[in-house]
Amino acid sequence: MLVVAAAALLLFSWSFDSAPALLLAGSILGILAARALLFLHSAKAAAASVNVARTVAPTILRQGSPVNVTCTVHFSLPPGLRADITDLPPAGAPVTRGSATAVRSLPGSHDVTIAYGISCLSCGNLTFGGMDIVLSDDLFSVRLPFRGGGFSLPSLWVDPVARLRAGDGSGAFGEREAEAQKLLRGYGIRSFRSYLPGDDPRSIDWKLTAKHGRLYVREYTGMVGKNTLLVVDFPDGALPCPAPLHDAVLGAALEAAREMCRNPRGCSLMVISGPNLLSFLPNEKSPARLERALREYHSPQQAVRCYRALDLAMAEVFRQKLKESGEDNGGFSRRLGEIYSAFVPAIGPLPFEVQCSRALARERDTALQVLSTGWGDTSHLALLGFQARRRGIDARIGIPRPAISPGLVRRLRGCGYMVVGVMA
Amino acid sequence: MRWGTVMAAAVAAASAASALALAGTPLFLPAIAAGAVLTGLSLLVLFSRPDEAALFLIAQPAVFLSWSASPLLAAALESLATLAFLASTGVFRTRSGIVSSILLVLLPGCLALVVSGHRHVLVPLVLVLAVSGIAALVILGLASHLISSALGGLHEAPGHQ
Repeated sequence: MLVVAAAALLLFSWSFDSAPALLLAGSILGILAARALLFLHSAKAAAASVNVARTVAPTILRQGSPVNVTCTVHFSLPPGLRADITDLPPAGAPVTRGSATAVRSLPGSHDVTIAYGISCLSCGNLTFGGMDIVLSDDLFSVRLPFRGGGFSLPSLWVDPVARLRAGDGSGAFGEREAEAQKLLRGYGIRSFRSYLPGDDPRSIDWKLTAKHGRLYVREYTGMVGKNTLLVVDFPDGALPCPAPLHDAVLGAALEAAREMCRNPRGCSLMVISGPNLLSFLPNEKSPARLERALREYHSPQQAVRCYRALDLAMAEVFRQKLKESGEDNGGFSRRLGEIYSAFVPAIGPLPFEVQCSRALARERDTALQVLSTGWGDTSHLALLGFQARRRGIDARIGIPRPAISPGLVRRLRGCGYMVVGVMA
Repeated sequence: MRWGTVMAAAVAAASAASALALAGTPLFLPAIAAGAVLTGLSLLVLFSRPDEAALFLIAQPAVFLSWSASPLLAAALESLATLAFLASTGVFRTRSGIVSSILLVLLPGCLALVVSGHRHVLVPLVLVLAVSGIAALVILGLASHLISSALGGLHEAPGHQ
């Protein structure tokens, strides 16, 4: 309003050569400038007095969990100013309870407490955006964006949520029903037989008994527990892997590790990234250590890479096949056979193969559960699968739903994985 | 005291002073009429929606009329309106505010001196525009510095490093 009046008066004084109009316009512009300088001086004093202390509970949580935030802002407000304070929650964490804004207009020292709740929908390490304070008086306002440093603390760690769907009638993490008599009784029925004195009357099958006129009892399947080796394959941090795939693997791995560490033998965890062994925790019972290992290596840099790495035995099979077919076809097949013959003797086991072999040979009754994004080169998964097949180990692999394709399933089944599961 | 009363009183004083100064001149009757309208308007603003900036603008026509009687009186009335405006916004509560206000009331005087010494307003107009431009640049620079210092995290919260 004042600026418009000053401009109009300036125009008037120029048009009509009016000295009093120029005096008024100059005075209005002068008072505006003076008020602006005084406002900036007060705003500077207010900005220098701002202190923020933010408490958050909990700081480690699962995706979608509610978080209580209490933010205490201490500042001094000069006379004539009004402050609108807005706490900025982390990106992807909308405010679900209360309000993250407070208003103060009385001069003096203030301790403003803003309490609100957020729901973390993003994953990973989340930091607060900071704080916005809008200082205003009757004529001017300025938005002070406090960012970084102490204004963004504390940070939240949000674990992604994903589940590995168990399939094929067996337990996902080591337990399965066996068609044999075991100490632990399963739920399935293996066979029926005639009643013998001393049998548990609860196992009598009354339908069959009524049908045939003699007592029949059910024989239940047995429960066998296997010591599952959980292998978590993280993608290379240097390559742009889609976030949903990465989050699905980390979420399913955390879920599986929490479940498995309750077993009497604990959870054997192997964290890999391509053909790089990052961490190996045998028979670990502490969920905190397992979670720490998974979080620590969730975005690794691959020092060694595989690209269509050949297993030695498979290469030998190819060579034999080419040798046989080369005599009939000649030309290309023979030449390829010669190349195979030249480099197959030079193939040595990769350090990764030795590591996998040792990890799988550690205990009897081992099962293998691999969680991988299935993104990029999968030859290290093939090496792991072949190792498991040679040792007669049940190998299962879980792949996130967006990455799964018929070709990938066929390839993984050919590499020795009995079950290819879907992570949802 | 009601919020804006000082400004309304300043409007009434400026209206009365300009009318008295113009007594015996052809502008006396217009000054009386303008004074009555301005005082009525100021009372209307005061009781409906107190706004210092609006009251400050309402006082300006009285100052404009008083120029015919004496440029010195116009400068004095403008200073009165300015002081009332600053007082009603609470600037006088601090020592720096009082000093800045005293410096500011010299502005209408200097302007009156510059404007009344020229036969035409072109040169003073260019001067006013140049000074206003420089002042605007200084204010924008200070505001930008204030915002960037807050953005750069210079004000760390204690105990959260």
